[in-house]
Amino acid sequence: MGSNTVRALVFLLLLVEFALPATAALAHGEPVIAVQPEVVAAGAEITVTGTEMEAGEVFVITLESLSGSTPLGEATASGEGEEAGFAATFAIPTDVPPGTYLVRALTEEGETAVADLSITLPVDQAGAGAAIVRDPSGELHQLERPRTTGQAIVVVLLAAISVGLGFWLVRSREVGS
Amino acid sequence: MDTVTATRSEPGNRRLAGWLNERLGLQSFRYSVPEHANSLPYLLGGITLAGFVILILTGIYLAQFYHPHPTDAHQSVVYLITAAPLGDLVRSIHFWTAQIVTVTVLLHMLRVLFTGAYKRPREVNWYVGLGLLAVTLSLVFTGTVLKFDQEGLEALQHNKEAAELIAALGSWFSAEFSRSVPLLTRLFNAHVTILPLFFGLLIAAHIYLIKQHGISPKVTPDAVARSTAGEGRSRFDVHLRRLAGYGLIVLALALLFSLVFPAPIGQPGVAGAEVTKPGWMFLWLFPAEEAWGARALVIVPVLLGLLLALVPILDRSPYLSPRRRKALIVVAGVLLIAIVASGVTAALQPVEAHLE
Repeated sequence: MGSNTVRALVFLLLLVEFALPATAALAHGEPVIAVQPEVVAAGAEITVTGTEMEAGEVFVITLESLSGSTPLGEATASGEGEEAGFAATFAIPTDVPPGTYLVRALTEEGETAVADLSITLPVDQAGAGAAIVRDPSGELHQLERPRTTGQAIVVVLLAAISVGLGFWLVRSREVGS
Repeated sequence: MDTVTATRSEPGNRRLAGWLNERLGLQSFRYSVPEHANSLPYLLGGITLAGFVILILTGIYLAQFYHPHPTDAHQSVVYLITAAPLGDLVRSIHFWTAQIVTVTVLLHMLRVLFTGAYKRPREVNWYVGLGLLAVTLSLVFTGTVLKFDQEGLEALQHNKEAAELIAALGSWFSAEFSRSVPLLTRLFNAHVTILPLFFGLLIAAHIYLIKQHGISPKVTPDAVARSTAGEGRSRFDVHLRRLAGYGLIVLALALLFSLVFPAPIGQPGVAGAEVTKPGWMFLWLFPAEEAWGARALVIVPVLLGLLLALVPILDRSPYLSPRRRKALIVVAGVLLIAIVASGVTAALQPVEAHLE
């Protein structure tokens, strides 16, 4: 029992011995970026934060989608050794259509990092009303929620059964009393 | 031979009850409970639980069509309404049951507060109940965000701004917390897994403690807090029947509301814009936010939670009658009026931008 415990401890120590350098190596591997906020309106600004970079590295920041790529600007990593990074603010063009995009940071050497970004309509197009949908002809109109007569009858019937059963249970006398 | 004949001659429902009882031990539910436990004010907690059953069933159906990603969430809700079989009706039942459950959970808490049902030996269950209230409101909040219309996105943005104020405690709401999964997706996970798990654990503890101490004694001028476990002229199976009955009435109400007023869905959310007001359960915070900014969204609920947590510590007399607990009842009444007045003010106010 005692020797088993010692063997287990040795195994754990060896695991830590080998795992730690591997983790450390991974930590200084590829550059990483994060985008705040992750949902932004067209025309508003995002902050791109880069980490795990080398000081002096210049990253070109672009907005990518299936329909193409839009350059946002550049950011230069600063800091010590491989712990360098950047935090830079970029404006999203107002004419970018709503959807999912990739923000990509790319160096001349081909080092790259990406992060997701969802873009909504510009702020001045926000509305508090009901949802608007496009019908098959392409025309926009407010989402209609009609209930058919059949649906209404079924729902009222179900509600009546629920109420009836509910009142029967609520008012029923104690069984066996 | 005689026994077999006697068993066969029993009515069908009796035979079924006997069969079930032999296998499931249903007889153990026939323990004594006080008669007042079957009155509506003392059934509010159980009605809330029945509402949760409806919410879980409808929620499972909705999850089959909902896509929890910022770009697709709103469109998937529109699909659910327009194309999924019975999608609009099921979603509306989910929405209206959530509204009813929020009302019943708040009324349940007020009943416990005004009848002194938090007093010894029920203090721990009061705290479990506060946890359940927090989980319920969190479920309502995350549910609001999930539809990702303008109201949902604004709720999310307010939440993120408030979370930034509490530093590390709010880090779960930042993009850095998980770079691979958007916050909306994580809120969906919270809505369908994390919060229901907490709810399950807390409700199990709540029911266990009610079973241990019995329902709080009926409020009379001289009534004092004590355990009532095993006492009473009624039985728990009668309590369960009434609870199921009220649960069915809740379902009927949700069905009728769903027919007349389908659950709302606004236009797709536009980040940074503020053109909507929050739901009624959060609306009362609106004037405080206008006065003190996003920090009010943290400070006011925390203060209110602390005050509620202090109730069993401050009110240690054994008496249950509100007349013998005037100070606490007056303070609670004033706070309640202030909250309602704040909500009414917010409802009448024009929409104001608060986000920084």
